[in-house]
Amino acid sequence: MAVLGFDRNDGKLMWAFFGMNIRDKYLGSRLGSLWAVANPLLMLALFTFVFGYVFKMKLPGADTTLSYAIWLISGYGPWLATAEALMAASLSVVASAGLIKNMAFKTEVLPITAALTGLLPLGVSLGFLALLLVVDGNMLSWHAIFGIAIVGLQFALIISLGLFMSAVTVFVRDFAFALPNILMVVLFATPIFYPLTSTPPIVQAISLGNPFYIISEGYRRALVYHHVPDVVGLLYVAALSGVLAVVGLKLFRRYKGYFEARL
Amino acid sequence: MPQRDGGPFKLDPRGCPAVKPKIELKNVSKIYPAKTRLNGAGTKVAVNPMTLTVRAGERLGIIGPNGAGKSTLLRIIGGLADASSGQIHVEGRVTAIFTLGLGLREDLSGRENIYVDGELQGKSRAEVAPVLDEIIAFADIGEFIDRPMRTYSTGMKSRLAFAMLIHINPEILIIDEALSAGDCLFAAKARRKMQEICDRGMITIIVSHTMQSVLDLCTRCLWMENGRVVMDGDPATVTRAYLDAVRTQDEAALAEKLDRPLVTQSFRPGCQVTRLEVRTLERLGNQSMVFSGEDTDVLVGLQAEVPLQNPQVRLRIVRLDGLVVVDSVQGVPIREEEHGLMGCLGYRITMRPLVLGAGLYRAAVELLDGWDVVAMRSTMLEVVTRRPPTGGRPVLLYPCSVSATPIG
Repeated sequence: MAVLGFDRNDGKLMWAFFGMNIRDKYLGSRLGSLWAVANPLLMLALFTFVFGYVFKMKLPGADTTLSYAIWLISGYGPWLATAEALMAASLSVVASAGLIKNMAFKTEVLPITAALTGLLPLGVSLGFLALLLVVDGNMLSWHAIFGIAIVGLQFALIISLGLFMSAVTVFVRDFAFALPNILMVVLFATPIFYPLTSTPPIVQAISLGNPFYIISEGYRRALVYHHVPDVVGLLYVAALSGVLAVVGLKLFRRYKGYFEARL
Repeated sequence: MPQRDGGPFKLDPRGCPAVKPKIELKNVSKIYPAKTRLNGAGTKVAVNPMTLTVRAGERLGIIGPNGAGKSTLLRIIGGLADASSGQIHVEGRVTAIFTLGLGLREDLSGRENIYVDGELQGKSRAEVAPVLDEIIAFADIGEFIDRPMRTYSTGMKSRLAFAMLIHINPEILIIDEALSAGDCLFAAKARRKMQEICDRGMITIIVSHTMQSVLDLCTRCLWMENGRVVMDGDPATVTRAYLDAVRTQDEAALAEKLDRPLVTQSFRPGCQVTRLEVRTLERLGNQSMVFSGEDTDVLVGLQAEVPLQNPQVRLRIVRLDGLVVVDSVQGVPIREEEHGLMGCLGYRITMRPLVLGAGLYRAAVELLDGWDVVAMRSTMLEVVTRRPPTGGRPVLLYPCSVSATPIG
């Protein structure tokens, strides 16, 4: 049984790698798994403080800082997961040079499992969001089901991008250094800290095509506003991820033979 | 476009392999493309197009100097590297071990690492649990098994890494380089275990630099040099040929070094060794080559313008690798009426027969006055045996002499 060229053994290997990645990230430190929770929360708290209290940003139509905080976290939390996942994925092949040179396995597994480690900060962020929603009195409705679909879409996109990035990093190591900066640019260019309405029309038009914006809006609508998210937009993201995944896999598989010489 | 086919084969219900494992390579080569711009070096041909078939039951050993392409070939067979051309057909599950201790994590305990290693090989924790105790017993690191690996000594790490191998059940087993681990006791245990594992594998391919392991573990031996197969046959023949070639190469290199210090030196003004020749009596032709077993003369010319009270001649013959074969001091006869040696003197040292074995030597003659060296001269000497003995290269060849006496 093979899906996209992966069979059951590869599935087992992916599970094993996933476990190893998670363990590696958090187990080496004293507080261990506590950091998995503390890190996203710290970032969320930081941005809420800066934008909510210092800049005193408010949403049009909602006055409390808490509602802004919820709005912020529902967009920024998933972004945190995306950023971490992409950075992990881009370095995944280069970091496992020893493994690649000495063990025969499908190298595609590396960026995929590295990208999936983003699920952890995502879970923490969404969990914290749910907590805040309860505090705010804004309970989750059935629309939250869409949230699950959006998680799937988000990670489909991340994995597709991760395949490209991990392969590029092998040949151009600088990419791994450039990536955090690129992500920072994309973060502030995407209406995550500020609502779409407060941007000029040109930016609004561009943002409608920004998959990260569509995803964060999807989360917001499903979890906070209790609307059905923009299906057209989500289909667009799905199609984009699909194309990127297929192309990414093909390219990765064609060039993975050259990794060994460059690692 | 190089093709690769085959895959894990299935066992039929009785547990016998339905298809025997087999490795076939046709015109397989591996070429590393040139690095552009940074250094102008051309392409590196790691493996020249070669054709090879390995059948079930064969245990193949690959020997050769560094850079011969042995590891590259193994990686191609093991699926780690793609061949640049040719077809590869591998039937059977390949277990390739290129380094020990692949996925080991320093901060986990030894026990945890055994599970990690199992995961990398595709075995769940449940599958590893039964053999866990066996592995721990084999590694023999005591209570450290539950301490993090960063507290281990190097020996302990390699012992544990090797111990993780013992429960593999390979179909095609590929081992690169010596898996040496631990002290003598452990090495003996490891050798026995290697024997067992190789027996279990239906095809085993080992790259080793120890001729003894190849002789112990293999049924067929491949000698590779510069990406080509130089010799393919039974281990005893191939290893001997390889060792001979290595020795000849060594000697050639040493001979070059030895060419330089051929000196004529004089430590006391007026005293010289004017002539040094080693010559076989029968032939007058090529003087730098003499035959073992023939009568040989060392002709020395001495000159002293200052009288030497206690003249002696010392002959030293040193083999290429530094072995001193002849080191003898002999007196120079002086006539009664003279007060010492003065003038020119021809001196002959005879060796009847020449008992030196084949090889390159440096012969040096020193003129001594008592304990002082007053002059010296050296020359290169090649000894050739007409009928070389089998089984080795002895330092000295004493001819046998047989005599028969009738009895009764």
